[in-house]
Amino acid sequence: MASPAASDIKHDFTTLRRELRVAARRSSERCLFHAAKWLAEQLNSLPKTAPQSHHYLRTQSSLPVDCSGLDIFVNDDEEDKYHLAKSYFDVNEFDRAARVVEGCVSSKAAFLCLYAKFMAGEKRKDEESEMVLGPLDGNVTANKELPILTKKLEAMLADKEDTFLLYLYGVVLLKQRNEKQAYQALVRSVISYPYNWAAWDELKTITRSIEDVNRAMHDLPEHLMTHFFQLLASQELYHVNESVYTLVDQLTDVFPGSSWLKSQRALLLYHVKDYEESEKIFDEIMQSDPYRLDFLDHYSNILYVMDKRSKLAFVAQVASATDKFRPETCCVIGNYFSMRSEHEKSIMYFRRALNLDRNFLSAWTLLGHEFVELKNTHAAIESYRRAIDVNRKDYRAWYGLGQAYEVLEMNYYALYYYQRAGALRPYDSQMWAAMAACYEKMNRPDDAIKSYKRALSGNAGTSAATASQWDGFELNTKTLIKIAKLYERVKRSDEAVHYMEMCLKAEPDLGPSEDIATAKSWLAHYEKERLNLGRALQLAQELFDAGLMVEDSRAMVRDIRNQLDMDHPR
Amino acid sequence: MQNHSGAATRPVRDPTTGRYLTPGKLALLALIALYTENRIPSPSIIPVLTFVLQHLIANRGQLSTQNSPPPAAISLEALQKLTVQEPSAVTGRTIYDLLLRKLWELNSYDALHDFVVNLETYLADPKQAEKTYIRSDGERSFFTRNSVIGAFIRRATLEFSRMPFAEAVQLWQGFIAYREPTLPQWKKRNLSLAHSTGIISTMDTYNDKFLAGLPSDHPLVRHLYGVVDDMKLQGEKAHGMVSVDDVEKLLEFQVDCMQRLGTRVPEAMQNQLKAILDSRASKPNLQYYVEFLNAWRSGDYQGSFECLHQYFDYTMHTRERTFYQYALLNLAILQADFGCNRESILAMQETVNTARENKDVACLNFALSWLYHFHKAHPQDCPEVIAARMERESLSFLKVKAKESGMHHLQSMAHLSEAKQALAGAESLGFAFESILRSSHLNVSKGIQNAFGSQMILQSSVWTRLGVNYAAMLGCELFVTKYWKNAPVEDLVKAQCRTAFLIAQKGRFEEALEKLENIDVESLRTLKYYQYWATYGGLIRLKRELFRGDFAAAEYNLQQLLAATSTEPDCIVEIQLCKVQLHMRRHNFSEALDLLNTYAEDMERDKADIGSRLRVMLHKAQVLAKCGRAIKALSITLRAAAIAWRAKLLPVLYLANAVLANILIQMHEYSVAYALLDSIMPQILECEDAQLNGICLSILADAQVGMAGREVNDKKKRAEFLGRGLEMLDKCFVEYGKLGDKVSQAEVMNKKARVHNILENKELRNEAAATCIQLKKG
Repeated sequence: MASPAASDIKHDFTTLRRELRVAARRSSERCLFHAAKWLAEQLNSLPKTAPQSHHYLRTQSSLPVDCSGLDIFVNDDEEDKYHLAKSYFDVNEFDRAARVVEGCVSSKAAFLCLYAKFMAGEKRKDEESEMVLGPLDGNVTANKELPILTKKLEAMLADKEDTFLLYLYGVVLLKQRNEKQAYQALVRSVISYPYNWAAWDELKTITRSIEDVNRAMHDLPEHLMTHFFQLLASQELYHVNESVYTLVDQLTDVFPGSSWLKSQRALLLYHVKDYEESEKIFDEIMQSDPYRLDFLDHYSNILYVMDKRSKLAFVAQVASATDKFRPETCCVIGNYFSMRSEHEKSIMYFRRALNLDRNFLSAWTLLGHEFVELKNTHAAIESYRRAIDVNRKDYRAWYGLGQAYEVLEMNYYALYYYQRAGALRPYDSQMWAAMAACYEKMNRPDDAIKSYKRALSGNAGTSAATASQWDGFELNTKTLIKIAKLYERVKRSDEAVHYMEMCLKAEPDLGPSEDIATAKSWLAHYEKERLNLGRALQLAQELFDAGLMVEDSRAMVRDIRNQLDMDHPR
Repeated sequence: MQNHSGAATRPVRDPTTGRYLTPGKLALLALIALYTENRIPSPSIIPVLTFVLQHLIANRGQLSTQNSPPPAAISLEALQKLTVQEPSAVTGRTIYDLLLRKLWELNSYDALHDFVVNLETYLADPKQAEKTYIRSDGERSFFTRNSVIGAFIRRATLEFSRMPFAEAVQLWQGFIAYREPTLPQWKKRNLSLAHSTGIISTMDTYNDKFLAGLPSDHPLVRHLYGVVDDMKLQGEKAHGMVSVDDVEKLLEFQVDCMQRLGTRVPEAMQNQLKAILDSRASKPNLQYYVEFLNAWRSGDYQGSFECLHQYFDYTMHTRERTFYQYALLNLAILQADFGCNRESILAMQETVNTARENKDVACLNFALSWLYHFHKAHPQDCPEVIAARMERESLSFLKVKAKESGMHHLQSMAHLSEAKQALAGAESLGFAFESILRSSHLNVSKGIQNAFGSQMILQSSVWTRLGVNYAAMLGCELFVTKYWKNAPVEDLVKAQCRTAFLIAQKGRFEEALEKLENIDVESLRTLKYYQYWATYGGLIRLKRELFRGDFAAAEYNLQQLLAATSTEPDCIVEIQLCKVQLHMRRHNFSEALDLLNTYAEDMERDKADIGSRLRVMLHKAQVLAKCGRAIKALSITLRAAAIAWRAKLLPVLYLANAVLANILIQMHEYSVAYALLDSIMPQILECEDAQLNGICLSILADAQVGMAGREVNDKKKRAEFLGRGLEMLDKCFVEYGKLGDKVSQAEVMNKKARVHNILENKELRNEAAATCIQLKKG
């Protein structure tokens, strides 16, 4: 039998082309990326013929016939190129992908070209950054593709409204810190196509405060997705009130099984410090989907605050069993070791999380906390700063920065950061108390007093869960005493007395404590000065009976008795 | 921000999983915890502590007496056996119950972490311990940091803190699988769990408090503990049950066994060890060395070379050139073992040079001594350079070197070699004894246990040369019964073969073969010794067949024996002489003579042992005698006798005398012949060599008959002589009977018939004739 000559390998090019396209698509759908890549390469190396009619695939496509032009290809050639580019992208060959679809006009192809360029730039940026917290890390290295992309996008968007291109434009602008224009681009994007969740996600980073969100509401279309966005933005801003809760409930009615909604609800509860409920919800989620790692780092924070170490170990076990090399898992394990006071180990795990994803916000903040524990203030400051650069709305990072500078005795500096933190969360009494301490050190007692008062009211403002009630009182008495002492410093004794008395009022509920004792003894002294010996004696006696500050009280009692005797000799 | 994190890079994995801690070790720690809390009453402390220490110390002495590997995993059964009978400080509960409670108290990963971290509190604060010798602080007693248990605790806590999180979780899972079999026992004791209706819930099995209320097949449970079921099935082989540390200990034990005793580990043990090794992902490098030793001992030539190279390749990055000479040394010995003598010499030369370069004195001495022995054993393979050097660097030089570097074993061996040299060269016997004594003194004073074998075997061979076979056998028996524990297997095999050979010489072939069969199979796991043993067996059988006249079988056996390429020199001599004997029995005297001449030349060239050379000479004389040209052999016999006397090789001397006596008889000097042999007869009998006895007795008989023939006149004297002659013939018949040598027996009967004929004893003559014919037929 004669061997087939080369010319015998002849096929009908049309069928061949069609078959290859179908095969490439099928492979890609089944995630056989390398096979898809090969098929697409061969497809694209067939001799080019005249452009044929559109959409031989229309009948096979699962996408609906659309009018917005998002899915249509200008011609088959572009479609083939698109498939090839996509297969390259799937195996992470970004530059190659970008090059293939250079100059294409169809929506998908154009987007892929630019996005691939962007990803290539990001990848190079990550590689050049080398070590986390090293000299090359941070703003020193940037994505070099950004300027080129900006220009291109501007040109393309001049004549058409492509939602995905707008989204990409917004992202690029954000990276270059051009927030206004980014905002506009993203809003345009969601208006033209509300289901573009990527755009909503980016939008939430732009909204800095609740006012921004409300303002945005005016610009945004009336759509289900907008509600989602509202929820997300509110949660990120720690802004929790009845309306937000109702929003969650409404959305849950529509999507009863959504773990994402459950997580959001849990996070809201976390922000109002209702830890048990939050924990319950997260537990439910974990049981229903053991392999889910999203938001697990937040859960670990909750457990950390609740001081539940064994449970945290358990969660770490679950996360580790699912995937050791996800930033969320590393954060959980890092938290666990931090709770065990093994700070070096926890730093190692946080760094690992950052190696995996340099933009993982919680890892930066937690890394900062660890450095503070190890008294490495400078590294802590850098970590917190990186956290802020990633997300300007991270309250804990601002607070951490304030604390770090306070430790370094740079009080004025620290104030700036505390103020920024205060802007994010006006009702956190701890932060106000810290700020007040700063003022005290800087010898600004008036401002300190104001801050302390804010701290007091802050407690009232929060929805006190029963567990923290006593803590509230604790803080209260300390704060009250501090305020009183400050008033004494500014020579306004009446106010001082007022506050000390207020402190005493808390006594029946709290029982004897050091602060009460301090208050009593101070008052006793004061009354003695004022020659209200009766009252003084009463207070001193109470002190002595309670067994607190025994020597002082005994001495005082004796003193007062002497004086009384002197005054009223028998 | 999932969209932008596509370009993530993976960080480096942590190396060496399962380094040290295993669930078994955790159980041991729990037991130690019980001990510190004074929960163990005094009478039970000793057995518990013995058990604990047994698992902690790799005690050489202990290992060698038991000849069993250290236990790899501390099984719960062992713990149970130990503790279940012992009452504890809490009434109504045995130690086992307390132990179980401690194990089951760990109900989450965090609890395990706490447990390990708290172990540090069992260690005494060094500052405090110095001030006062307070060992216990009320409820608890402490360990000092440097005690065995203290060191163990420190290592355990350190290793735990080093473990990456994922591995610690694996340890926890292994621990759950490990303690799960004790669940029923635990439930029995723990009433709060007992109210369950017998269904094992997740809470019980995994005892992880966070899984309470979940059924066993809940996805979360599967996700976390699915692997535990697999671990339970795999038992000891599960990953993490045996740590790298344990495996390394096992491998070291294997290597030690093989090097010290020269044999492979028994089959069953090998399988166990292999199973344990297979369960691990990472194999320590020592495993390749074990593979190499295995391949070598089992005679796999190709495989052992590959394994050797593999091992040294793997260790090259850690040790570099410093171990190069050991690699060469191993190569050289390997090649010698497999018979490639030339390459072996070359490799050994390289070794010597490299060892000199690296100033590794131990290796150098070993290599030199090895070269010396090799040169002695295979002089024809050594190139002239080496041979010349060996002459120069004589034994004394080696001895001095060995003594300098404190290598006592080598020194002792050097003394033995000196003795051998003295014996082989027909030098002073006294000097030989002296050397042996020196070696023995070294062995005893320095406790070199594995040198006893060589020394006793040499001693026994000296006795054989002196003709006191009984002492020789006794020596070997003594060695085998009393000193086998630390002896290299080679020596054991040699001793037993030698004993068998000596028994065979008495004619008791069956007994000898049985003795060989009863040799410990484990000793024969090395190919070389197996071959040695097989050669001896073949040799004994060959002799038996020769004596019985079964020439076909003898021929066959001989072919087999000659075909074996690598045999010991002493065996070779025996085989060669047997070949000659075969020819003699077949009456191929010319061939026999040719062979003997060749052998004589070879031995002359190789400077072989004087005994062998003398035997060859005497065989020649015997051949000539059989041809009827006995007188021609006179000079050779006399020379042989003289040399034998000088060298005190008494059996050879006796044989020489016998041959001489035969010659004398040919020369009709009957009385002289008789006197000659008669005087040494007692010593000859002492030799317990049936063939020699037979030959001598028959010659004596001949002499007597000759003398009777001379006495023509004196009837009484004649009768006396003839009577004595008959006596001799009877005895001779018995001796040949022992050997089963029917041909010689027939000859004897023939002679007897003729004597009876002369004596006119018709019936006896007929009887003898009849026996003779019967023997000739059968």
